[in-house]
Amino acid sequence: MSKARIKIKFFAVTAIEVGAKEKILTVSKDLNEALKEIEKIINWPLKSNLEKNRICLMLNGRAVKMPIEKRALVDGDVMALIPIMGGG
Amino acid sequence: MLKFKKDKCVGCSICEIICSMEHEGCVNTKKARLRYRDNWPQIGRVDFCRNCAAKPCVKACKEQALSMDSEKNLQFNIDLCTGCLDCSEVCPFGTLPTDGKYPLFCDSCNGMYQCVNWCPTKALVR
Amino acid sequence: MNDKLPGYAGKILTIDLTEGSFNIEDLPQELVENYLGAKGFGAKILHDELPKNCDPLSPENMLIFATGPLTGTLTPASGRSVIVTKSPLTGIWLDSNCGGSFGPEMKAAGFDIIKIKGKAENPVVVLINNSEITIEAAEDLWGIDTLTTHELLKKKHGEDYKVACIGEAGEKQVLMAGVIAEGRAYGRGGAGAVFGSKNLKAVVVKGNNGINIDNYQEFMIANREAKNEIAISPDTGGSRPKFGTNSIYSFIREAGVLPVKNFQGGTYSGAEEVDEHELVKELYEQDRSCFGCPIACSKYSKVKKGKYVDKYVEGPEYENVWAFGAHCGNSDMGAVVYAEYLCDYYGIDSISAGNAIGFIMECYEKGLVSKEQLGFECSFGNDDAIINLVHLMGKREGFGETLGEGVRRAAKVLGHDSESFAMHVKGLELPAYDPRASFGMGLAYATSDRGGCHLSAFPVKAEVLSNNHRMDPLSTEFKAELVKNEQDWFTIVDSLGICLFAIFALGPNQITDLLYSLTGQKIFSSTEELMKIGERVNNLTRLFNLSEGITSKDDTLPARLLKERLSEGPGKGQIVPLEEMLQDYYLVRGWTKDGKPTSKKLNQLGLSDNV
Repeated sequence: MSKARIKIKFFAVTAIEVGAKEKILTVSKDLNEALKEIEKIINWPLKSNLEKNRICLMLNGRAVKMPIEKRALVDGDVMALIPIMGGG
Repeated sequence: MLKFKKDKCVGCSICEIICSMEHEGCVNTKKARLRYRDNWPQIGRVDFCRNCAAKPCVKACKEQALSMDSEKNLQFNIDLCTGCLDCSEVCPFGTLPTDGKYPLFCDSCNGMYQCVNWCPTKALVR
Repeated sequence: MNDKLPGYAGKILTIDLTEGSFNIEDLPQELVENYLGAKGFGAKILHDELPKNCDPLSPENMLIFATGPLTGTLTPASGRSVIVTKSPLTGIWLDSNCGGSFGPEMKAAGFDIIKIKGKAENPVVVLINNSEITIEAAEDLWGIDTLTTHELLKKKHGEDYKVACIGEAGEKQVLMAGVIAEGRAYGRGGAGAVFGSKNLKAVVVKGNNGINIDNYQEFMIANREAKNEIAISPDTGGSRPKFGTNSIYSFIREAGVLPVKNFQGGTYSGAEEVDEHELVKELYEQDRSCFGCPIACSKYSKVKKGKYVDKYVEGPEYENVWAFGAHCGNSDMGAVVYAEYLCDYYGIDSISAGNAIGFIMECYEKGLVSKEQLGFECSFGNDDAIINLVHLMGKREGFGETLGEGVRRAAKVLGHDSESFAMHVKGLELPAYDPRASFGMGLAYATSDRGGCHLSAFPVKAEVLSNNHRMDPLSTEFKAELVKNEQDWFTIVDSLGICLFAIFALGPNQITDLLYSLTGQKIFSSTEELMKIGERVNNLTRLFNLSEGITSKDDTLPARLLKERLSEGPGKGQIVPLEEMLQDYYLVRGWTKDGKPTSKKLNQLGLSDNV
């Protein structure tokens, strides 16, 4: 199977723009491919926000290196899109 | 004409800061032509001369420091002002800012409305 | 107006409460060029003038209010000022920072610095109206809460006065008492107790002096750029205005950095339901700003239903949502609102208070303190216990007497190895980040000049919230440089008199543009020179701490963080490898292996006369 069933979480202002705090999606196993698919599904400029350093991409609690590394997703992976923030 | 939208105000005083800079060349909110008055813990309001139609201040001023121009906008000549504050007494809104001695009338920055330009939440609009 | 020093008020006010006298002097140029303002001014004065090893609650201790050159100006987030003193809670350096509008008003009255020494015979209020200084009897205010004190003083003297005052906690010299000023707080470290020890109820100030601008055109250009940067940033122009300080809540939790139940980890009933969206929906009613701030991160919140209906607060802030929430195993945000309100009411540091409550909950569950001793049950998740304990600490009654002295002292009283889970560094209670999932934060806690502080450096941003792969939260690499550089940079921000949140959008070049165009001081046109000032101030606070008895042994973390491994989350299995980061840090700082600035370093910073 070339697909993985993953959960994506959205936070703060990203959640408002996307319209959800989390989604469960079946996407391509290849991380880069998956991100393209996700961008279409949520109708939100994922790629450009990543490139402009306006969000951080986390996978299972760890930040994903930029440029996006070659990586295979598996069922149950949890992705998170976090607006780059300072502290509280 | 300057308008205040209370539901958008966050009480930052940036309007007072920029107003004083524009008119005095330094930062001194006590000389701003508008004044934020807080209502902690809730947001209060911003007071300023509203250039109202009635303008009872013009008649009240014994020194004739207040007048109207051809477009019925309020004109204030500080050189004639003695600081009696009768204008403030008769103001129908009762909220005219003063610097302690002299009244402070909004002049819209000659149509530039700096406070409107700088208000971060569009609580002040034309 | 002061023609000589654009950006500054130009004067220092010194008040002697013992003599009932005051004097006003000019702000010296050397102080400005070498120490910049606010925290920097405080460091130089405290180091030079405070008698060594004095009792922080004696008349010998000083209170130093100070603003920075950017305080009260068009610069974004320019409402800030500091109180510098020797902390009665930690026994070492304290700079306590406050937003709101007190700092700008103090500067409008004509003072960059207000020094208060001695002790009044009876409760007094210091009233400042430009250069008219009065020390007024205030017995009628003693015992009154901070909110009512504000109302009464403004009613008596005029609504245009700004107030900084203590409540019952400060009056009774509760060691974690703070000073409340116009809805904000000089919260941490016990400055309120120092007020109380001097019989000082409040400082009340108003003024109408202007702040001169050296190069108006350049200052406007710099401000337009700053305004734009703040507005387009996803932080200061996006999440922070909407969610306030809670904008980071759920992803800090996601990253495993949110400490639960006194840093034990695990979960609790209702934990998943708390996040920044829920707070907006259930609590927030209005946005509020400090003076000069376009971000408007503060909120007016009111509880709409449930047990705490109609309770309100300016807040709740992220640190309190944690301290009275996850840290205590509590998911009732109404209780959080009320607890934070009570901390304002009594005038007590909410981070220390909340941290102490979580500590005593663990002690209760371990049987180290009983229901009889406390007067009520006190397991994790018991919101009544939280409220009861804030009252008791605020009033210095019952068990609050012990707990209000801080977890370090409370652990000594309770014994049974409770010291290993008393979560403080150098006596200051830890805030809302678990460094076992963010190693750099562990180094930051261990080396902050005022103790367990999250505002001296904030590696969580670089490690957890950044795309930069070099900053792995579970690696020690590069952390020493990161912490040193952030400490120096944040110290500059604390010396400028602006809010840290401004620099989540503005960089050093934008700051120097603002500062140089405002002040015209050549030395401030160079970011290198500015960083040197930050480094100088941090070395001076280190010298102060060393002379007050701090050694490298105190640059440490609670045993729990060094020995107990996190049980779940991205930091699962981790403890903080502090020692290697610490040695790197001393090296990077130019200090000896024992954490002392070398003479070479002190020479470089022009501090060799200060040893």
